[in-house]
Order: sequence, then structure tokens, then C-alpha cells
Amino acid sequence: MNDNYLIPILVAGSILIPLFMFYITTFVIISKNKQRKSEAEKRQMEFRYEKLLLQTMLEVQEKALNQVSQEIHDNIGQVLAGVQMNLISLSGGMAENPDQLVRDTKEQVSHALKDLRDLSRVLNSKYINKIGLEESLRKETQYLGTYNKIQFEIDVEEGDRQLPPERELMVFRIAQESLSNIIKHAEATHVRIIIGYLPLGFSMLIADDGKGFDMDNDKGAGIGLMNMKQRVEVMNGTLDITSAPGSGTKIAIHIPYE
Amino acid sequence: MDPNSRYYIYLSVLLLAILGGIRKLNHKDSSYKILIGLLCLTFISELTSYWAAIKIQNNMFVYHFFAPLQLIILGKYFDSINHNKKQKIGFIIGIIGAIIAVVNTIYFQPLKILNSNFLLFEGLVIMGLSLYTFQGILTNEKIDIYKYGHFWMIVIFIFFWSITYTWWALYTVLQEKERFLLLNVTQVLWAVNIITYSAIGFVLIYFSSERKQLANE
Repeated sequence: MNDNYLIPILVAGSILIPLFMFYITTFVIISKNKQRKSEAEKRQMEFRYEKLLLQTMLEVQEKALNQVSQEIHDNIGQVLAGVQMNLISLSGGMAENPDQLVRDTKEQVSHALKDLRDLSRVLNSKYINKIGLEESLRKETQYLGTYNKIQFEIDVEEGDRQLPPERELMVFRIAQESLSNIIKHAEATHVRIIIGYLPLGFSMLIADDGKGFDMDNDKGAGIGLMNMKQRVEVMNGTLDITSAPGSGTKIAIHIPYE
Repeated sequence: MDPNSRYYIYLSVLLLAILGGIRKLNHKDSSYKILIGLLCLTFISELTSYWAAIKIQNNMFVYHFFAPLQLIILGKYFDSINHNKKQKIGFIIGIIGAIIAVVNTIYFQPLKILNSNFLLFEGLVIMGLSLYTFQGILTNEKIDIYKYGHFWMIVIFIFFWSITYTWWALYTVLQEKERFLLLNVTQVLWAVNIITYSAIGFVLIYFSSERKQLANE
């Protein structure tokens, strides 16, 4: 090639190649800056999430302790107070029908013992794993039904597959949280639980006929639902809530078997 | 500025970069040590080139030996900073490059003339390896470029080789006819060398292995 043509080409190349390389270097620096920023945001989100998780765990723990305390005070405590009064009447010779009073007292003590066992069972994860999810739910609703005017109904769609025990326990805790919310806030009279062992995964629907809530504005529903959501996310599942004022609430979860 | 002054300034900057690298040498990782070795080799080759220019009026043979060695050492450097340690792409390319350099010297550009064919090939290879390393840095989320000295070393290589790449070709063409223009090209190459070695010296002083560890955390 003639040198007269070669020189302008080489001069153009001398300018274009550094420009191209400058463009690539700038692109790398900008991309890394974006990556750095998103990493910082991710770390901050993880920190916030962990903080919220810890807060929720503490709240759940506190709630469980309150529940135990309330159960002891409202049920077992009341029964034992009655037993104490009966014994005072018996020891002071004030009872009109001592034999009947002794029989009543025996019955009250048996009742208190049953309440204690029920309470201990719903809190004991080994026991829940032993009897399985369906039976645990039946016992839980039976126990809750004794002290609340709510009618519980459980339907099971059997399938070929089963959830592993640790997942069953987590599902049971989600159901417990959900039922506790219904009792406290929903003013429901009827609760239906449908559990299904579908080919693609496990599903559970908890529906109540209570007062419902406005999903956009009701911030009070936050922590309990957040706790349920976190448990479901740990199992790579999904949780959907449908509710509207006056129309009850439906909580649907879907969890893969593994 | 006369050529001798330019030469002494260039050697001084190169020597300062070496001293900056030798400072706290034990705290530096092996990749930096490879680069410091290359800087020492460059210094020796420049001294040899100066001596040859005076004594035998031709120093081109120095670059026939130095350029392939430089490519092999840079290949080792790229291998050492790329995160897939099992790959030895840089070193293999360096060896292939050395073979090409020998072929070029025997058949196309003998020892008495500048081995510009090989220098162009070398520039292309180093820019390619730099882009490959950039890709690795981009995909590694753990690397913070502001704490990772090797990223800035690659930026310096890209600056140096992208500018000198076609200027070497221009140098070869102008050598034949335009002596006056040739002087300008030499000055540009000198300025690029000064900027490059100053920047390398700065990176060697400013970044240590501790900073690299921070970047990889």
C-alpha cells in the first residue's frame, strides 16, 4: 500500500484504538461502581432482614410465653383455685355433700391435668413430629375450640407424597400463628383448613368468616404475617393472603416437598 | 528537550518505579513481584540498548530479545491475577509469542531493524489479555476496584498498549521517509512511557497485598 494512504490510516488507528480502550475501561469502572452500589444495598437489606427476623423471633417467643402464661392463669389456674376452695370447704367441715365435692374435685384435677398435657403437646415439637401434621392440627383446633366459640373444620386431600418432618413442623407453626391471629383479631365463627398433598407440592388453605382487613392500609397485620412469610420463604414456598373488610381472610401456602 | 535528557528522565522514572516496588517487597503478593521483575528487566534492557546505540550504532537487537521475554513475563502476571488459577492462557500465549518472535527475526525483520511486526502482535495480545482480565473482574462481585491494585495495573497496560500499538507501526513507516515527523512520534512514545512508569510506580507504592486481601473479602 502507498505510504501516503498508510500514514492517515495509522494516525486514525492511533486515535481510535485508545478511544475504544478508554470506552471499555470507562464501561468497566461504571459497571463495577453500579455493582458496588447494589452490593452495599444488598448488604443493607440483608442486615435489615436479619434485624427484622430477630425482632420477629423475639416477638414470637414472647407471644408463646404469654400464651403459656395466659393458659395457666385462665384455665389451669382457675381450676386449681376451685380445687383449693373445695379442699378448704372439706377441711373446715363446711361442705354440704362431701362425697360429691370430692368427686367434683377429682374431676377438676383431671381436667387441669388434661389442659396441662394439651398445652405441653402443642408446644412440644417432638410430639408434633411423632403424631404428624394432620393429627397435630386436629388436636390444636380441638384445644382452641374448648375455649373459643369457633367451629373448626379440617379437610385433607391425601396424596402419594409426604412432607419431611421438619417441614411439617414449620407448616404446623404457620397454622398455629394463623389460628392465633384469627382468635385474636378476626371475630370469626367458622374456620376451615384444607390441606392437600398435591403432585407438585404441599398446599394448605386456612379460611375464616371473620371481619377481614384492608390489605393496603392495615399495618397492624404486619409482624404475624411477616413471621409466616419468612417461614414459608425458608422452605422455598409461597404464601398468598386474600382479605377484605367484612369478607373474612384466606391464607394459602404452597410448599415443595424437598 | 534533547534526546539525552529525555533518556535520563525516562531511566529515572523507571528506577523510581522499581524502588517503589522493592519498598515493602515482602508484603507484596507474587503478582506484584512478577511485575517488579519485569521492571528490572526493562531497566537492564534500556541500559543495554543505550550502550549498544553508542558502541555499535544499532540497538534494535535488544528489542528482539526483550519483547518476547516481556510477553512471557506479562503472560505469567495475567495468569497470576486471573481467578481461574488452573488456566495458563497467558503463559501459553507468551511461549507461542516467543516462537513467533524467533520466526519474525529469522525470516522477516532481522536483528538490525526494529521488530515492529512482533511489537504489534505483542500489543494485540496484551490488550486481549487485559480485556479478558477485565471480564473476570466484572464477573467477580467480591472485587472492589478501588482497593484492587491489579485492576489499575491493567488500566495502565491498556493505556500504554492502546496508544503505542499503532504508533509503533507509524514509527516504522515514518522511519523510511518522514524523518521530521518521526521525531514527534518518538516524543509521544517517550511521554507515554513516562506516564506509564510513573503510574506503575504509584500503584506499587499505594497498593499492597493487604489491600488486595480486603478486596477479596
